Amino acid sequence: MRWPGTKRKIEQLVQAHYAALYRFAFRLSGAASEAEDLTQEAFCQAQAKFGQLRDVHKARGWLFAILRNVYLHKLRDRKTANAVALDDVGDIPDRLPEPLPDIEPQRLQVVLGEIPESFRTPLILFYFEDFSYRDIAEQLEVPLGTVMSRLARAKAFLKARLLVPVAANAARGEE
Amino acid sequence: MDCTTVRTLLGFARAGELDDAERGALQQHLDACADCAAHSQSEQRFDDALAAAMPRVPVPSGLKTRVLIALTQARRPRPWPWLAAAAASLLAVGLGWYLWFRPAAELDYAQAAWEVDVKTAATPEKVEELFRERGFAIQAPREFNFELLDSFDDVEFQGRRVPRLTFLFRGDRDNRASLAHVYVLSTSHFQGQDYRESTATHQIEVRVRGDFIYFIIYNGSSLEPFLRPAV
Repeated sequence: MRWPGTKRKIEQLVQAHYAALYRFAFRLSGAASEAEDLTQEAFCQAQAKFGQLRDVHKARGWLFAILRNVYLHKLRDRKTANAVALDDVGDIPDRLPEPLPDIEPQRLQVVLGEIPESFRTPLILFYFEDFSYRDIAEQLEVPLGTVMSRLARAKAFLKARLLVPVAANAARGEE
Repeated sequence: MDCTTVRTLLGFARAGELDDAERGALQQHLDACADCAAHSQSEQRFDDALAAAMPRVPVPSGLKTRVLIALTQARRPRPWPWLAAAAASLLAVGLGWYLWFRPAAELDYAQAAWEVDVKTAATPEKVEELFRERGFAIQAPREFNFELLDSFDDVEFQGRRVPRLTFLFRGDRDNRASLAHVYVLSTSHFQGQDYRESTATHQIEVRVRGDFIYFIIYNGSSLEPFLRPAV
């Protein structure tokens, strides 16, 4: 069902959130063309069920949740399973190198692609869109503790894959 | 508060899940413990680095326009292909049923006989009766020889449906076969006066008789063969 004024309101949402939604989609999928498809599909679904958005202040989270569902749907269709187990992290130094090197965005994307979606999504939401733990828990429909646990494990994996070689080299240099 | 608890609470602190007392206790430990303070700062730097790298995704130009176009297309009412297919199937089945089981047409003996009668023994009165049934009140051109009447119908003539009689003269020793069309026009619809015109291929003659104008076009040299023999 379409509500009066939906066209104008949905266009306002596009104006406000299309870039963030695309970036989220890119970080989820790792491909520009797929990210654009996901963005368009998410907005089309949002338009179709606009009446479900009761609080306009929650539009951003609502849109992100729709996009994630679209992505998961496509993921299920493809039945891909190329993610690694997050337990295979190895030792992570307690202290990171000084100064901390910049994280190269393309390298970050490669490592994100290795993380299972259930860990990747909270990570992206937390660091990219500054969602609170509670927002993420609400969006993923999981307990707050689960969000914290997944974030901690995903973050440890990222550290290991992004920074450990740097830390190891720094340690060797000190010796 | 020991160091293990502090490392756990740092996560809750980032989530904004600590109350004032817990935050105070945590800060008190960090002020006193260099290792935990360093760990906390290291975590914060990594968080900052990730937060800086995560949104560095170039957005393709024209994306907003393409999204808006997709939304416009999605708003258009979609045809119901299944409904169209169902309707087409139903129509095909119905048509097949009708063609297979349709009742045979009954022979209208009277109509067939009447038409033959008109053709073989046409009279001005029969022609007038036929056109009256079709909604045309006419006066047939009685000076014509109705034994030569070949056909009659209502036809389009200068924007109106008008009766037309066709006479066929099959020729004799002196004359070749010729054809005459007689358009019967009402003076309430057309204006005219007696008139004759000859061309290389046909003759035109207009005869005004009471409320009717007979517009005659024929080939041959004369209208005489089409007319009733003088008594």
